[in-house]
Formats: sequence, structure tokens, C-alpha cells
Amino acid sequence: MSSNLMVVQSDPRDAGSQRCRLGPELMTKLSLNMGDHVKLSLARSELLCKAWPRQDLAEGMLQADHFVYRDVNNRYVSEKFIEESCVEKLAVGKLLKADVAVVVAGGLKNAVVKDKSLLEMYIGQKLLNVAVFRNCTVSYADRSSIDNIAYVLVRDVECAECKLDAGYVTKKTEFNVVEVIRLEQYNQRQQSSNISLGALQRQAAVLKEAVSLPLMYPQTFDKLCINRPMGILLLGPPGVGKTSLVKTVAAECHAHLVALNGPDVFGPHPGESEENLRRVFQEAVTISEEGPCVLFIDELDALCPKRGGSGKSQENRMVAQMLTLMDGQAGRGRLVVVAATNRPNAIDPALRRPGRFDKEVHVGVPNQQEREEILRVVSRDMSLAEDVDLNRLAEMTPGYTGADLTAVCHLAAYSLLSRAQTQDKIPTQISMEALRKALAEIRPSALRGFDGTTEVSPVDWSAIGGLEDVKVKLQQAVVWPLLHTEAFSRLGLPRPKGVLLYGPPGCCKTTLVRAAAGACHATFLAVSGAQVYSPFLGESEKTISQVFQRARAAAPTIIFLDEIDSLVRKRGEGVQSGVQERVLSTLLNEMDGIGVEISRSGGLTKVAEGSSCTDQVEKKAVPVTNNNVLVVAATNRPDMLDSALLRPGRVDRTIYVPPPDLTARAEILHVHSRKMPLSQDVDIQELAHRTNLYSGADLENLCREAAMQALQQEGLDTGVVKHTHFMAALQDTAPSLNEEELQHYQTLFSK
Amino acid sequence: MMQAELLTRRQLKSAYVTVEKQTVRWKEIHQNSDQYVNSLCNLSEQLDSCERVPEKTTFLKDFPDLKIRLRAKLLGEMEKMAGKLRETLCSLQEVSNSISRQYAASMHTYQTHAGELGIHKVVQRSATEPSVADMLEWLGDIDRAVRELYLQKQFLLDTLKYDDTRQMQSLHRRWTQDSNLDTMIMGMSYHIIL
Repeated sequence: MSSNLMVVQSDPRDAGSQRCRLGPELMTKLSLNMGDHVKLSLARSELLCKAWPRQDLAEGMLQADHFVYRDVNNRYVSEKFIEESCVEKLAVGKLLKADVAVVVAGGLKNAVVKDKSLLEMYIGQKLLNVAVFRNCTVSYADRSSIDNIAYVLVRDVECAECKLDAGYVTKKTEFNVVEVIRLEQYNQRQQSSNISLGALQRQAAVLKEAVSLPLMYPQTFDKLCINRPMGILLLGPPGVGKTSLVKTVAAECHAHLVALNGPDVFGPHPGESEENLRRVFQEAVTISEEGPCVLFIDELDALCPKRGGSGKSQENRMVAQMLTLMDGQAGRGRLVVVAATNRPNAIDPALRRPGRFDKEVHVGVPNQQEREEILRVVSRDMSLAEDVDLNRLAEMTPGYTGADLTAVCHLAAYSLLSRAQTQDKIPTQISMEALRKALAEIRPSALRGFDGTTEVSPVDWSAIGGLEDVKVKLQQAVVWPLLHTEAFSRLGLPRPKGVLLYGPPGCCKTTLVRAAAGACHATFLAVSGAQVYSPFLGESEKTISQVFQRARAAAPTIIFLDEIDSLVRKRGEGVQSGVQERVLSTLLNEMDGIGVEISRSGGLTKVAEGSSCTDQVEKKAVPVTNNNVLVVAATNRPDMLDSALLRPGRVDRTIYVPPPDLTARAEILHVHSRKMPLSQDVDIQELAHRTNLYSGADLENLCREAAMQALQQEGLDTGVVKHTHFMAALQDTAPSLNEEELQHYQTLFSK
Repeated sequence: MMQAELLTRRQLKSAYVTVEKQTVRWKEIHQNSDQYVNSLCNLSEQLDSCERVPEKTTFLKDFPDLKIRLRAKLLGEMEKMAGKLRETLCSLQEVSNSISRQYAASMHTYQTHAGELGIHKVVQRSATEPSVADMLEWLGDIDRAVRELYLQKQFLLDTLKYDDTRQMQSLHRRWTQDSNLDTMIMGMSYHIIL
């Protein structure tokens, strides 16, 4: 006889009978009589049932009525087959007293639900002869009944034999209704118990206060005449967890969450959308009369765009309706309206005033510490290998939001699975290497799909020959402020805002910056002139300021402006279209940091210098590392730049990148001829001697030319490049620099 | 046949006889209550019409307090009807209680002899008689169904609002919603030769 029982769905005829159908043999084995109470421990729940023989008398099956149960999570019990030991006989006494909560569908309006004593009597009759135990749920959910009671939650029981936790209801049982809950709210509580937040405590506290204060001090609220709904606007880039923040807070405060998705409201007929909006608001107001309620409007920008455009009459009406509703809900202190958006400037400004949305809470891109917390939460249920260092991972992921980090962890887990297909052994732990690979594939969403920047692949310092002192200077100017922030703040040293690299063309200024970007784990945004300039008026300035916004969101960041002389020139010189001047002034403004506070959250609004903003105090708590933006520019025409740009405070350091000297030239030649089959007689030192005034690019060209000479003279199947070929190439190429020019560069900033 | 089994079967048989009688009684009481529900619906319609009559324009303006009086009278009449329905409810509760008692007694008889009987005896069926287990099961089902019906009616009466016309109009439909009890009990009784 097998010891496993197959769990079968219960017979609909048994619903509400609390019967558990077993085979007669098993009943004999367990010495059970008909109607004896048994406790079943299944994978998802513990059931309290009455043993009853199956009608077809078959063995090996278990068919229990899911009527009185307690939710548990038993990982070690399989869902389909259970052992016989999971069926336990349970002695049940008479129930004297029980504290219950009642879950009601469809409104709490009717007389029975309103009147507590009536409800208690009614529950007593409804549950007659049902056996219950502590913390169990009695479910009437699958049977539609006239009284709309969906669940009875038993909180506490008191039985005649005081040792027992379970008892059956008799006519003398006293019921005490602790709480009446709406069905929707109950369902939300069941679902939302498993969301958890990493970081975001500060924002959660603001929300929690708004939701729970009116509930905790109702009299004080009445005395203080607070009778408006509270409006909170959540701002922040996509993926930082605005939606899950609201959901978690609502669940924690036991508030009812009415979700309103912006696009869901729109209907095809005129007037329908407003109607929908009114209906949802009305629903929320009704619920808020019974308990705390959060009305959550996701993607507010879709619902309430700016008014005034032609041909947007529907949106205009929608906004008007929204304004009226936000104003009109007087006397409802318990309703909290929370809206979330990632484009705060697309919202109609009339909504963003006290009285409608009183508070604006910024949810920014997480900093390193917050990223570590998020990673900890995300990877909580994953099995990580021992070499995984979440701290290090958080360091490597500037600009990544919560959603990105989740995606990284998931991708790493998936890559394990796909590797398992090719190998026999299935790895069970996520290694650091898998996470690194996933990191390379997922770019931070703050930088995704964005004009004005180009991708730059970082290079290693060793790929650059010579220029040792320039490297050191660059490390001091770029890498140190980003990596050793605390050291800088300890000495009261302000971080440099800008670094200018200048020097003759072809001396690897661009490569140097790429190496610097690779050395510090900073986001690297390269701005190219081609993408900045646009035929539309005002577009170029907007692009520049957007680059800076993104950079601040994803701080620490290096913004690299290559060939800055082509991007912005001296003002008031020659015939100019004026675009360049405007771009220059935007650039100057952005570098000075005007409008930093607001736009960090992804908005476009600038706050003028000196104007105060209520949220600024709050922001002081944010670690300073968050607005860590360094502008690195490179040019070979430093004399063409506007002097306003070059003053300290904007570009603090100017670094001259000289043409390569003798040893540097030799190194560069080594680097470039590494892949060539050189013959024995090639003398790199001599070549270095003879290539005075050659730039790095010239030297690269020389190597190429020499190889071409070899092909030309020796035929296409030659295997070596000889010294003579180099000499011939030297004849053909001329240095691109001259002494005069170098003098000019050297004297430029040395006064 | 063993003594224990005989006793249990005899108890079950008498229980089913009582249940049959009580079902007939339930039906009678229920049919009787139809007239009260109907007149309650009727009265609520009158009340509704009375509310809607415009006061200023019609002949009512000569009798200023007529409307109030009419309303009071109608409400009084409705109270009376509801009182009658409460009486009906009490009789229905008696029926339900009596069936519950039968079920409890049968379970008790079975449980006192359970050790002697053993499971195999209990689940044995024959061509002419269902098993003890089946009969107990059906009795339990009938008991639950009757109590549920009774509770529904009680809930209806408890939530009754005289001036809610829509609810009143649907009262008749909801009150008479127990046809499936009939078929259920009949279906089960066919199995048993009394």
C-alpha cells in the first residue's frame, strides 16, 4: 500500500460541508470515524476538516473541502502528493468565544453589517457546527450568497477545554466582531505582503505620515479643521520605484489602494473619460469614509498634459475635470491622492500648487549606499556564490535604478540557466562573473534612448605611450575627485567642475579621456557637436541642458566635450548665427549649477539663484556624491574659446598635452608596430630620433606607410617590414607640427 | 444484521420520516407567506406613488396633511406585513431546528456505535438500501441547505427598508428563491424507501 496521497480538487457538492474525503482503508488505519475532525498540512495551507469516506471507496486520494484553512508556506511539502502523516486526528471541543473579522464584498452599507450585535448573531448562525481554530479563515468566496460575506477571519478562540486551539461553533458560542473589511482591501492585503523596498525610506516616511496621521489623531484633525484631501506628487525618472513605493506604503498602513492608470481612463466617446475619472474619485471618496484610502494616479502626465494647445480639447477637459475633483473633495481628511510621473514638466502647472498636490516628493536615482540596499533586497531570495560582493557591485553601477538592478540580477540568473543547457552540471549559485556579464549587457535606463551623446569604449592607461606627467595630472584632476570624495571634503577642497585638455592635434587627447573614464567607475557621456546642433530654434540649448540633467541623475558622471572649439566659440566675433552664443550661455549656466536642485529629479524647470524651495532643506540629507558632474573638454584651438568658459570655477584645470618626446615616440612606435612582422634590422630608437615634431597620429601613419612600402616593393606575399621601408616612408611623410605652433601652445597659458 | 447497525439504521429511518414531514411543512409555510410578500411589494409601490404626487397642482392642495397621513397609514400596514413575515420566519426556524436535531441525533447514534460498526460496515451498500455513510451525508446536506435558506430569509428581513423601492420590488424574487431545496430533498428521498 502506497504511503502517498494524491491531492484532488474538492467536489463542488461538498462545498461548505467541511468534509475531507478519504479512502475507507486509510480511515481504518488512522482509526478515524466518520465526522472526526482532522488537520491536514498541505503545501499552501493547513485545513481543518471532518473525515468522511469517499463515495466510490477508492484509496490513495485526498479530496478536502477548502473551507476552514490557514495560509502557510511549506516548501518541503509537494503540492500534488502528500504523505499520510500529513493527515492528523484532532480533538475538538466546544467553542465558547471567538474574535472574528468579517470580509464583505460590495460595500458596507446594509443594516446587518452596520449593526455590530446583529452581525455577531448572524455570524453565529452562519457558522453553526463549523469547527474553527486560531488564525484560520472561513471562506465563503466561491459561493455567491445574498449576504455578500466572503470570508470570516477567526483571530482568537476560547474553547471549553482550555488546552485546545480548535473548537466547533455551538448555539451558545459568543462572537466578537473586531473588524469589518472590504473584500478589495482584503485581496490587496493578501497580495501585497511580499513587496519590499530597498532604500527610499525618506520618501516612504513622507507618504506614511500623510496616510496614517489622520487615522491616528482623528479628533485633533477635526479641531484643526483639516478637511482637504492630501495630494502628493511623486517625481522621478522611470524605474526608481515610485509605483512600488506607493503600493508598499498603502499595504503597511492598511490603507485601501485605488489605482488609476492614466491611459485606462480614456474612452472613445466624448465625455466618457471625464465620467470615468469622476467615478474613480467617487469610489475613492466612498471608501475613505470607511477607512484610510490612497488614490494612486500613475503616469499623471498622460492624464493631465499642459492645456492650451490647439486640437487637444479632450485633454483640456480632462485637466479641468481633474482640477475640479481635486478642489471639490472637501471634508475628506482621510483620502490621500498620490500621483506619480517621470515628466513633471508635461503636467499642467495648475495641478502643482498647494491645495491640489501639496507636496512634491522627489525619488531620485539611488546613490551607492542605496544601490547596495536595493541589491540586497533584490538578491534576497537568490542563492549567491560566496565571491559576490554587493558593495563592490553597487560601486560599479552608477546611474542604475532599482529596475535596472533587478534586471541585472535576473539576467545573471537566466545566464546560469542557458549555461546549464550546454553543460551537464547545473550551477546553482549566481557568481560574481555572471553578474559582471549581465552588467555589461544592461545599460542604466537613465542614459537609454537619448540624443546628444555617443558611446565611447574605455581604453586602458597602458595603451597610451609616454605622456607620464600628463597622465598623473589627469588622474589628479579627474579620477581623484570622483573616487576619493571623502578625502576632498575632509580638506574642504571643492571638486573641480571642469578640465580642459589642449594641445596640438593628434596627440591622443581623446584617448586620454577615455582611459580616465575607464579608470573611475563613472558614467561617461560624450557629447558630439553633430548631435547637439539642430535646425530648430532652441533645440540645441535644450539638448545641452538635457545632457546635464541626465548627468546629474546618473552621477558621478564625466561629460566629455570633444572639439569644444567647434561647439562653442568666442562670443561677439565675426558673423555668427547666434546659436553658438546661446549654446555657450547654456553651457556656462549648467556648469555653474543653476537649477541643479529641481532638475536632478528629471524635470526641466530651473530654479533661479536665490529663490527658495521648500524641499531644499530635505535634500541636504542626500549625500553630496549625487551631484558629482565633471566636464572634460578637449581642443586644439584653445585660443578660440570664450574666456568666460576658461575662468576658474568653470574650467578649473587646463592640462597641456605636448607632442611626444623622444622616449614617448619610441613607445608609440612600439605600440603601433606590435602587430607587424618587423625584420631584425629595424631600429626603433633611430626612427624616434628622426621623427622630431611627429605627433602620435603621424607616427601611426608612418607605420602604416612603411608596411605599404613593403607591400609595394617586395610584392604581395612579403612577410617582413624592413628598416629601409621605414626610411622610405619617412621620406614620404612630413610632420604635421611645427616649432612655431608649439611655441604658441606653450606660451598660451603660461603667463 | 448487528444490533448496532440496526439501531443506527432505525434512527436514520425515523429521521428521514421527520425530514419529509418537515419539508412538507416548510412548503406550506412558504406558500402561505407569498401573500404577505406580495402585499408588501404592492404597498411599497403605493408608497412610492404617494411620494411622487406633486403637491401643489393636484387636488391634494385642498388637503394639506393628506400625504403625511397616507404615508403613515401605508407604513403602518407595511409594518404589519413585515410582522407577519417575522412570524413566518419563526415557523421556518422551527422547521430548520427540527431537521438539525434529527441530524444531530443520527450522528450521535452513529458515534456511540462507531467502534462496534467499523468503517467497512458503514460504507456497505446493497441493491435496496444505501449505506449508512451516504444517508448521514445526505441528512447533513439537507440540514445545511435548509439552514442556509432560513438565513437568507432572515437576512432579507433584517435588511428591509420600506422606502427603498427597488429593493422592495426585487424582494418577491429573492424570497421565493428556494426551488433547488425541493429538488435536492426529493432527489435524496428517492434513494430511501421509507
